[in-house]
Amino acid sequence: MRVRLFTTCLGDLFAQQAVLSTARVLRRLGHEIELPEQSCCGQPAYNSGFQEEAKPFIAAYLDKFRGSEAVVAPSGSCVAMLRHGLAQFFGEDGEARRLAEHTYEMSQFLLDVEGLRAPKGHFDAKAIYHESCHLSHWLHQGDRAKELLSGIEGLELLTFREPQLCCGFGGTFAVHFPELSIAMADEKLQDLGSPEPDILVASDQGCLMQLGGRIAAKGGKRPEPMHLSVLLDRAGVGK
Amino acid sequence: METQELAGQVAQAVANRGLHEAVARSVDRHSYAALAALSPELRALYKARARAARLRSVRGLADLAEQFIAEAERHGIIVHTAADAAEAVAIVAEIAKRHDARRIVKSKSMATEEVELNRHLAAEGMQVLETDLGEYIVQLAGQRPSHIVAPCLHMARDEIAGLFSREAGREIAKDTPSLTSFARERLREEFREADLGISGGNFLVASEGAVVLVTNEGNGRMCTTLPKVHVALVGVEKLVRSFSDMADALRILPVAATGQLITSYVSIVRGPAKDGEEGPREVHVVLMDAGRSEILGGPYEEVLACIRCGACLDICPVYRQTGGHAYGSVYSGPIGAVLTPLLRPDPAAQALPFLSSLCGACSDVCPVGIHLHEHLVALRARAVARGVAFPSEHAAFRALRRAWTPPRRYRLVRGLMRGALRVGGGVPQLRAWTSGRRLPPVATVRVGELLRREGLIEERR
Repeated sequence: MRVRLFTTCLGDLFAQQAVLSTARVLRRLGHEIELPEQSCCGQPAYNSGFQEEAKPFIAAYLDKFRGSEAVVAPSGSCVAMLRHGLAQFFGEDGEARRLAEHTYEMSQFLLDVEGLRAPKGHFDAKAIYHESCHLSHWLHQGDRAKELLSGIEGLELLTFREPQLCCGFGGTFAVHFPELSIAMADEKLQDLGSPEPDILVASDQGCLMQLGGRIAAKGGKRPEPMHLSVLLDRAGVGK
Repeated sequence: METQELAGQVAQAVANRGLHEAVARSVDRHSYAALAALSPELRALYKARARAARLRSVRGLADLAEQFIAEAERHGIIVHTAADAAEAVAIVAEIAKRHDARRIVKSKSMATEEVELNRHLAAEGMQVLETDLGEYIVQLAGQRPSHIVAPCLHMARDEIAGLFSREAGREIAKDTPSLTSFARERLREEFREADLGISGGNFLVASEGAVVLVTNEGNGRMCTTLPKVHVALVGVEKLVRSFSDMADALRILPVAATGQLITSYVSIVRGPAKDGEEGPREVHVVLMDAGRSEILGGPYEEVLACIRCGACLDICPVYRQTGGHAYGSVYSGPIGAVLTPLLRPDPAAQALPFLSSLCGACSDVCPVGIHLHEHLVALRARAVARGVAFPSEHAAFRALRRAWTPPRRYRLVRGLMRGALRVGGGVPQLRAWTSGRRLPPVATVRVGELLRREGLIEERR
């Protein structure tokens, strides 16, 4: 399949490994990858109440990604925004509606389009999986992404006591209410258990920046924040 | 700035870690009980039926109000309509004065909180006593309820024992039996003496002209049967078509609230006592609009389907950190952040939708399927349109839009962004981030370049 990659702005600015790994895994599974011109999904403006400032981002996405067979992004949050924005701003346009349906978060693509179930791989680590809210509640995927990890040898997968508890990122919420946002991160991190797992896996860079940034600020070394795609890539999925 | 005031209130609440512990413990108890009470299949079925029943009612509200009034009056209930809070308060005060009521007992009601009924009646020289245990406790503490169904959920047991001891003039032990037996004695005395009983209502059944109360402590039944006059102050959105529609909503309400399949008491008030019967001689219902009908027919209409179970507060990752008072409104949590700006026009109310990480857990847990997180986002846009926003954000997003669309320009200004972030210690938003979190370094090379170098991309364009 010809898959177009939406790298997301966080992926371009802060989390390039997640983008590279997504591309590598897709390539190994036999897909061709294209990279149309792109910027951001517009969510920071949209969720802060500036819908008019967000609309041009959605318009640009529709313009540059028109006709895509499938678009994959390493973020449930950006995909939820793109889908929602296409429907809200360009719902009259049949191509916008079609594109929305063909825009996928990475694990969603691997599970639903690729039909991957428990792919084989090897990665020695004790990992804990964080369900990012927008993948779980906005795209209604729950914790299905864990299926992608269940066939990986050497990986011990732990679960949070409260797997659905938000990490406190919330986009501009994190800077509107910094004390609250940090308190939420701390409650999430308290739930890591002891000893801490080696890696903290999630499918959204926002959550990883929030939790990873908090761990680092407190001088912690573990767990290492890791995007799900990076784990799948390093485990050799698709090889 | 309202947003800054809200941020201040929130920071203060977050600094109180004892508050977080008390709140988190209670909301978790609710959530786990609610989760365990029903199988997922049954929950989905009940939810669908409750939503359908509530939406049917909301969409036919004007007709239902008319029908309710006719039926209730047929049973001897005196029905009043109040367009706003001031009218509602005036009607209740007038009834109380006419009966020369000095001592008033109340069962828990968010509608009466909304209009600050107690404060107004006290100003008339009347003594109002809250008889729901939690509500009694917050009243003693001089506070407002912090949760829709559990008013004193934010308080620790020691604090409650202290309040009771002060009230009793002797030491009351902090174990549950000692606390409840003190409250029971104190309240019983008051039930016997009261001239007037005030309640809210969980449902108003139009086809029967009946007010339905859902309680656990029996105080609601005493408030509505012992005093010679009963006044129910109820928001007009509590109307349902029939007992059958009520049953559809009632089946899920206690489950969602506390994990109970049914509450200890479901009281149906159908009118004053007839000759030879015990009970109130006069029953009044005040049907209060106070902003509800303006929500009808618009994009937020489904919000009126809310059955006030508090499940969205219990699941909310923000509420568990701040408790209810930080919202500065009668209704808190996700439903409070949606409902308050719809009911109250003031700027402080408009700022509330920002107090959410938009995780969406509320929308999933809501037993009548209200799309809370979507309304929160929409109401943020409405707040911005009304001039309520975080400082300098509009300029920032306008600049971002100019810099990042079209995509080609994004590529050009990306380098500038990088520079700005590196030296950006002076930007308040950045400082808010780095005050407790490290920011990863901004990548030097564009990710597209890296993808190309690795030969991962098909060069077609």
